[in-house]
Amino acid sequence: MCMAGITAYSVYIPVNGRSADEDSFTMVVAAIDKLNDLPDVEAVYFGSESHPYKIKSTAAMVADWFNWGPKVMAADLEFACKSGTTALQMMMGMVDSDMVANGLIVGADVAQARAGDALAKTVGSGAAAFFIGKENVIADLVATVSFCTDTADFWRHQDEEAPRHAGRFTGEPGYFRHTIGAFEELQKKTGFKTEEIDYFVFHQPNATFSGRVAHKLGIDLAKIEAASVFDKMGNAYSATVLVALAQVLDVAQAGAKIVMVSYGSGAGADAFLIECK
Amino acid sequence: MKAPKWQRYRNNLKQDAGKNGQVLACTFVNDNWLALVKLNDKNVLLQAVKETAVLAIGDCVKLVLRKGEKVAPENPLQYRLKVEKI
Amino acid sequence: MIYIKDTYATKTGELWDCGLSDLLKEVIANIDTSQVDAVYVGNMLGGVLNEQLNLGAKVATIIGRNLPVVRVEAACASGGVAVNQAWQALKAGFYSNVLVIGVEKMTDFSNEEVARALAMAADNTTEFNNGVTFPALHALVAQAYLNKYNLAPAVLDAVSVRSHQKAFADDKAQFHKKITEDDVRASAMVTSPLKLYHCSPISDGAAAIVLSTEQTDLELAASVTLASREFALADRSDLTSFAVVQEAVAKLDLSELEIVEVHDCFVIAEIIALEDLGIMRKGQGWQEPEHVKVNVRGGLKAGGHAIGATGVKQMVTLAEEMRTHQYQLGLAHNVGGVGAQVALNLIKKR
Repeated sequence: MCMAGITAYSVYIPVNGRSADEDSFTMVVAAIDKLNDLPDVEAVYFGSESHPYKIKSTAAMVADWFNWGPKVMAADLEFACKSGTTALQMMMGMVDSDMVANGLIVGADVAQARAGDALAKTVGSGAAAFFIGKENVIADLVATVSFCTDTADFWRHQDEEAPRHAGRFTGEPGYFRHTIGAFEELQKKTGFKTEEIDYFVFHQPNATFSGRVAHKLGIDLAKIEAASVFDKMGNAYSATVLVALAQVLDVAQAGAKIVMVSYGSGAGADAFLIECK
Repeated sequence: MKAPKWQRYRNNLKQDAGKNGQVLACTFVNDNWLALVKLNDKNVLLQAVKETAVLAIGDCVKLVLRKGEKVAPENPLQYRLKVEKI
Repeated sequence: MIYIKDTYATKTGELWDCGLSDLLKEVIANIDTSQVDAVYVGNMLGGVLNEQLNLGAKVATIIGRNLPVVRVEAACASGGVAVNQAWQALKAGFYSNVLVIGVEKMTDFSNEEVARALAMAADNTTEFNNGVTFPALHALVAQAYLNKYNLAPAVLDAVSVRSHQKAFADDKAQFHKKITEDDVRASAMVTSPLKLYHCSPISDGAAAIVLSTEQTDLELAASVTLASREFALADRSDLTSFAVVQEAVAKLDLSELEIVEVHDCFVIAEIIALEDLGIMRKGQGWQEPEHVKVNVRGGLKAGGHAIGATGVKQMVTLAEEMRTHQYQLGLAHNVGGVGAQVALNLIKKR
């Protein structure tokens, strides 16, 4: 069992849609600025599909802005909408192994869609920041597992400004196969029973997928309510599932069990078992 | 602006980020509001966040980190403090 | 005592056929330089726009002699400060005759290039790099002024109309167009509350005077220049007046003043100038003074503003007007940046 846990978290969602002078970096700063008493962070992993630079680490910019360096590890991650939860997995390892005492993971994105594309109707922007450590933990990160294949459901080439997607192909072979696959692997690894879990947090690329995957997994639909964010923020890619987790943590009582499964096109899903203290 | 100068400029940004102030004078120019703002310890002259509709003398504002505009072709993407109405 | 001998000014305007050198050549050809011992040249953007520094050598070459030539830069006060430096050199006894030239060539460049160059008159660290434009700084001053005295922006309009009226008859002015307050109101907003017709234009031009220890009918009786200790607007204790001008004018006796050329790069600058100089009371600078003639040829607003030339052109205008109408005391008020530097030159008729 992993000994790392969530020690603090904060989210930032632009109120009237993203302002033209915001990007994933400024939104993360806005999120973290809401907190008092930041821990002494030794590693920053920044997951996004909209890093400000192709080459120049956003994680390093965050570490520098909050004066956590120069003795700090930093790296940027990309894996479509699951880059933030992938950062979380990596940080769990760093903290559990005592390589670092405190780390920050971030999932943040600004909306990207081709003009006139149906996708443009669902995209949003936002940032979620989670501090990970072993002391003063508010929720244990008990276990994590991933399900990952090479599946071309959504991609953007280096030289293109906007992403392409494969329409309905993103459904069954993409989202559902990987979300369900990761869920089942987590169940095998930890032995949890669906009925014992209090909250389920699934990635929400639109208004229906989260409900449909819950239904396929035999989950009581009431248990995905607390994580529902799509109506409020649209799909803010790497931020979405972490914002949903934050929303659940806001209301979850001590002892509550949470299963979170993210999904990133390309494709993969990260599953987590989380227990609130 | 070359990188070392930008580096010096950005080190100064951190000191004023998050402060609150009041608008002493403001003007709308080149699609931006520009405001002279009174902080506790000094005055600063800054752009307002991009989607600010109206700004007026006396408005309360705070200083937030935002993406800057390119002011000349050779300037890199830059970050600066802007004022946001409270 | 220092006197004004020859004077000459080119047209001010969009002089497409003239480059920087041509403007210099024109003034030098129209002034008797045979007795001149030294030259002071006021110019702001020769380096930034025209990519011509080392103006001293350029001027000496056009004159055709090896001469001491000093370039003076003080943003829009370059010309007035050049006059001041020439006056000082004469008073100190170094020379007998000094030529002062002001010159600017701005219209070969795009609006963006010129706007960026002009913004260099503002504080680089806190203003230029925060996306300000030079007109925007004056707009902030205008807004603070209107707010302080509870005035509507419309008070700016009549000032502009008067300037155009006065420029109409001057064939060297940039604009020969009478306008109405409706025209001003209808013009495009540049930077609120300043509209296009509240702002002086981009101009080319040159002007020259010869100052001498040899007596003439016009004495350059006093010359004061000061640079402000509150450069950036953020440093100002008062946004609605220019302290550096007030301090400079306190050294002069203007009780008998009959004619003045004030630095109206923007209408608000004229308003504040009249108040700073004590010609109008605070909050009333937008009204027309009764006892002093102001900007009789349209000032910068309608006459044009070839930056480095302006302070010297003011001297030429005053000299000609005082000689024609026998005004006894005249003042040139030349300001650099937003009240950041000032040169005041006081002329007495003998």
